[in-house]
Amino acid sequence: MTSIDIGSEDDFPLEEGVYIGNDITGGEPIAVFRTEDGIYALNDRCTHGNYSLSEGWVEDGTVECPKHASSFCLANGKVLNLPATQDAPTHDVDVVDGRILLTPKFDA
Amino acid sequence: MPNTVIIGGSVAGFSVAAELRDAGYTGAITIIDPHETALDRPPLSTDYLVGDDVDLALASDSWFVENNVTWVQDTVVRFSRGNVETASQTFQADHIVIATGATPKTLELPKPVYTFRTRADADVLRNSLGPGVCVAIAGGGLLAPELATSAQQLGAQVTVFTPHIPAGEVFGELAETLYTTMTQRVKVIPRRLTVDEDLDRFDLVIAAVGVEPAVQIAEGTGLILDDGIVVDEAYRTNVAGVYAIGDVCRIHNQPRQDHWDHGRASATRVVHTIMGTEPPARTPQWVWSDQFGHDAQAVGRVVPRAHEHLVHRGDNAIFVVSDQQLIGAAAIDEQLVIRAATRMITRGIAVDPEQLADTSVSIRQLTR
Repeated sequence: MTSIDIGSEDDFPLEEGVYIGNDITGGEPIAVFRTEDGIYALNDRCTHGNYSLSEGWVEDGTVECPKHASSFCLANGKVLNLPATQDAPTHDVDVVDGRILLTPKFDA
Repeated sequence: MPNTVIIGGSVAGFSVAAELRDAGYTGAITIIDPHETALDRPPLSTDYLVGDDVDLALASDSWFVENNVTWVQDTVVRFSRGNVETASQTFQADHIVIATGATPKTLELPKPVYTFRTRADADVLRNSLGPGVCVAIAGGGLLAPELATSAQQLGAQVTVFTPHIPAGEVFGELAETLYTTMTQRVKVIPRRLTVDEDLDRFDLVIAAVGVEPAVQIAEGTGLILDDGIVVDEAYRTNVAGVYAIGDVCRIHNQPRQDHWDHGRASATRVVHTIMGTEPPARTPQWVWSDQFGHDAQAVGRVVPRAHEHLVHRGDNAIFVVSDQQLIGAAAIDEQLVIRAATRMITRGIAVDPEQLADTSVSIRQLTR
């Protein structure tokens, strides 16, 4: 899978999510989060329902879905509390020379 | 080997099992419940009812194996200290957690009246509601508007009977906004549904008129019952080793809470009680309702008392503030307000009413 240049670091404010649409990802929409500790990418759709994790609350390495407050670990997508019960799929994302490179890991 | 038996496996009972394992509890855990697995019920009145493909299971079958939690599909008929019985089996238990929930109240009418609580209830209505069906929905809480939304989506002709603006205590002033929306979308008759009504014009009558705690198995056991099984703040009953959580319990000197979030939060606390550990700070009550395309949420108490301030942030968010402390917030389609307010309340963050009211100030910023 090739990586996609989705912008410069400045396009990704700290402790917030950015929505990357399926026109760019080539699969499902992805939410990219930049924090003091790193940059992370999860499927944008909350595993509990039709809501966008990129609009969620980012804190302490987690994102909390704004709708029903299920939290997911940014690093590994693990669901941390109900009502969601499924982990969020993760994708590879890196910062290379100030550019954000996203490598979606959709099942073929 | 210590062991815990949990009676009832909806969100409250299931959460006890999951959080006991997270806390390192090594004893046996058994959940006894009449359903085939642990089910989450909030989607029943909305997504599930309109026929969406919703996975109601709170955990996969493999989760039960991996976590060594035994699910017994059965109905408890009686229990006593240390002992839980179904019609065919007896279970020894050091800890008994009662999480039997609540059962819907109904209306006495000369016509069949449907109620709505379980997946079976939802399945019946899913098959009965459809284009051309005239349905009367009675109730003044969260459920009536949710059912009205789904029934209309299924093509039914909906009439809601409500004696007051629904959920006024829950959503405060914003309940009026939700009510206005409902009156624009379906027929609303501002009175109770009684025998005096011409019921022949309805094909179907649904009562969404509140619930009663499901205390039947606790009757005659010596547990104190008073609008629920009475517990202390650690969810202990008056019998050692017996606890009650979620909709079936009531903390002494407090009103009973029958919302999903209390089921989950009370499970967390009873796990600390069983493990003998210090619980985290109490979280404020949180409620949500999806109705007529809007997402209404509230946290804490949103009806101001004397000397408290009601603060408006735009048309769709309100706060109750007392001496720089946030007491509660409600919002329609503004979920981040609720996420922020929860943190402000739980963490005791001082708030400035002027900043709360200023929509140009990021709500996230006010929690930092």
